[in-house]
Amino acid sequence: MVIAILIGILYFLPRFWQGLERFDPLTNELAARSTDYRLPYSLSNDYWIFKRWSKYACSKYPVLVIGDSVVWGQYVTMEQTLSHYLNERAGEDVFANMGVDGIHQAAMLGLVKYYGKAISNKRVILHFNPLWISSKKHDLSGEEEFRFNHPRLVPQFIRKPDCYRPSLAQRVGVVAERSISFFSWASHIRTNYFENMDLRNWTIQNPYKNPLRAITLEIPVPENRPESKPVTWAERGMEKQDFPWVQVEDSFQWDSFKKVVEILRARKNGVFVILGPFNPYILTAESLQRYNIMKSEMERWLEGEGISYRSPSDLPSEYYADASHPLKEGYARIAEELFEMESFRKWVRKEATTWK
Amino acid sequence: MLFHSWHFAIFFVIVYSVYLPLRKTRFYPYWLLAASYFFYGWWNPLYLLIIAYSTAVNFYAVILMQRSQPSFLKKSSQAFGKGLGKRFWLTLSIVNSLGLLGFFKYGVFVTDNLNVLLSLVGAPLTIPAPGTLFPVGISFYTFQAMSYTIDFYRGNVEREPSFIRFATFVSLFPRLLAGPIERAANLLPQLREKPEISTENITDGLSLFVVGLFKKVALADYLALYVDKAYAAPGLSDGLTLMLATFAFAWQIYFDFSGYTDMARGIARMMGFNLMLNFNNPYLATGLGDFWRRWHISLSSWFMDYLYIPLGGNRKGKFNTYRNMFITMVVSGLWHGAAWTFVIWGALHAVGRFLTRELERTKFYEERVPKLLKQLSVFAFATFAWIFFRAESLSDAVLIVKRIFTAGLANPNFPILALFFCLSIWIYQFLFESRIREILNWTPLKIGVTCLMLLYLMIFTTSGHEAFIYLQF
Repeated sequence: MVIAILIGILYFLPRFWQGLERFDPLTNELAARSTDYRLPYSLSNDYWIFKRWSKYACSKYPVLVIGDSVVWGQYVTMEQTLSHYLNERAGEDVFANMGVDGIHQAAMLGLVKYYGKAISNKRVILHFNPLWISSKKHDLSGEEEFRFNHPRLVPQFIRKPDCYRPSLAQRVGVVAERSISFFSWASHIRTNYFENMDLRNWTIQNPYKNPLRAITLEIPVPENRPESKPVTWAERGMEKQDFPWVQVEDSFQWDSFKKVVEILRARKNGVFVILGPFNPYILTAESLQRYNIMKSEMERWLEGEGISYRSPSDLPSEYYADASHPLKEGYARIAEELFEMESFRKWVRKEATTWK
Repeated sequence: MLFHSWHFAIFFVIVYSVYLPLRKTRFYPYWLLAASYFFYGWWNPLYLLIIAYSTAVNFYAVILMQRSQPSFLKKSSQAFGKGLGKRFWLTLSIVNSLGLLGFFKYGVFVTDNLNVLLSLVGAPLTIPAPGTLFPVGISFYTFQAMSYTIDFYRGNVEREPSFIRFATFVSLFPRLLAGPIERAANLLPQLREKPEISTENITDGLSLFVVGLFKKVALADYLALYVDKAYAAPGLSDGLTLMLATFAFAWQIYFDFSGYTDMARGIARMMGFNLMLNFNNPYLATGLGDFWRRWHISLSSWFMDYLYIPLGGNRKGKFNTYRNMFITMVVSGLWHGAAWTFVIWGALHAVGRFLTRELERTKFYEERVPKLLKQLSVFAFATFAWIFFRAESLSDAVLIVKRIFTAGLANPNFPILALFFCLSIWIYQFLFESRIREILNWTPLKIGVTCLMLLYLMIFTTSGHEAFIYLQF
């Protein structure tokens, strides 16, 4: 009987909760421009909310733009992101910003596979940030253990990166979270209401606060400000880098990216890939040469697979905030460049008319 | 392998699914023994040598005791009472068991103290400390094996003919690491039968396990966050913080140890075995004697039967009674760990027992002092004694006591939720011992509470696996 009750609770509670905790980004009056909605930065690790956002976005937008903080807009406001400028160019609200901070390709694979199941029969612009293959460490192909973003999204047992060494309990917990929506909902409760802590640690930090009052049944509205100061990479004092880059055929991140494309296509989505942008001025000559070779290999694979793509042209140096993030002018330029492509315009128009 | 780990979950699913069909055959003790040895060897395979050796010595000591009896009876008559041969093998097995325990558990403590003495008298000698290997659970299974040997000597149990069954009795995995310390008279007969597993066994066992899990993960580990911080640097904490940390520790150790026992009893129940009750609302005790009849019952009754009574118990006048009580409590303290803090903790409880025993003999205390006041006094005393149990060193313990009374009161930042949990459970225990016990035993209520506990664990806690406090003993 206990088991029957528990199974019932496990199944119905997250669904019941969705009714209690309102999530309607486009009608949110607090958001600066509702169609430019992006997930609140503080909820970057809340995959349950990503799931809700992806379902919502699928029902409202014809095209989803998926990627990391480059898509999310680390150095820009909500009205200065790539999806915003794409919508501006399109003349209507077509593109949804599905960027999540720190989503490298291996994490993107987990995000799309487990939490993005709603994304089917859509058009998806998939962003590939070359920064994630700039070194073995970023590529997660090194053997030395280190902490990276979104470990709960990478493979836990088969094809697990060597640098990721969680306990069995943690891995089983992650698999449970992915497989049973109750656990991702529970994780959402901790992330959204308890500052990403479990209740024990939260009450140690906030000894006199009432935990029940912390559950406000409200999802925070994304703050309409850049998460990092919007200055150029030169003003930031960044120096030239000699990224070693990883061989494309050996790259864990690129391999994961290919799997994301496969999954999206298997779900009958049309996929358009944006390779880059990447700041060429920050690279030494040798590093830039290696980067270009690597990029050509990726492009060959995309062409071979018949996937539409665009590698944005180099932007002016002052349009880059760091190695991979553009400033607002950069986003506007990339959107402009994409709309200069007839194939892209057709792709968008077709979808816009098909999906509206 | 801790009960609240995925390793154990996987282990148990495998063991249980084989055990269920096997339990109706005579082979099930082999399977249980293999599982128990795997469970124990998971910590360190070397431990298996120690437990196997301890098991073999006690098993064969009893065989030799039995064999020595007829020859002895032929040689002598009543002059030697129970017989030298039998006593010889008993002594040998006890010396062996205590020697093992002494070597692994007290070796460092003894050599450290001897070296201090040697340096005080200026002797140019340092005794090297024995190895630092400390087999978890050694205090528990050694005492359990000893109880079998002593009970056989006393004629309270029959010799167990099967080595496999006896080895299973010593090592049965649910209770191997931290008890309860079972008696042969209770567990061995159960192992001789083919266990019956009813639906009730499974539901009760699961409920007990969930309650234990909740006590450990949601309560004990939670309180530990506050306690550990305050006790790590007592010099930096004010009086109120240390007082609340000590209050929290009183509940932490109760939740931790009774949680372990609940899980152990729950697992055993699912397998068709009944292990003894080890905790019975100890913080409702009205005297220190009562406290020890409610706290770690399997250990306190062990000391009662195998130390206090053989020393003479309360049969030879007040002085000898208190002497025996003092020895028993100090040894009980030492059983918990090789440190002077444990000795003082035991001695404090001995003094507490003298006081409450004397008070209980007065008419005024018995009739006029309200029960609640007695209970609160016992709780306050037990909590004070926990300072010596928990402190990292004797100097820390003294510092904590001093600061509690002199360091003033600052904002303690003690979580209200933790206080709420402790007080709620205290009130629940009061109600459980009152007339409304029947209501609390109402099945739908129990099911509801179990579900809530499980939900709380799943929603509000994350996987952190703090070891049980009593595993270090």
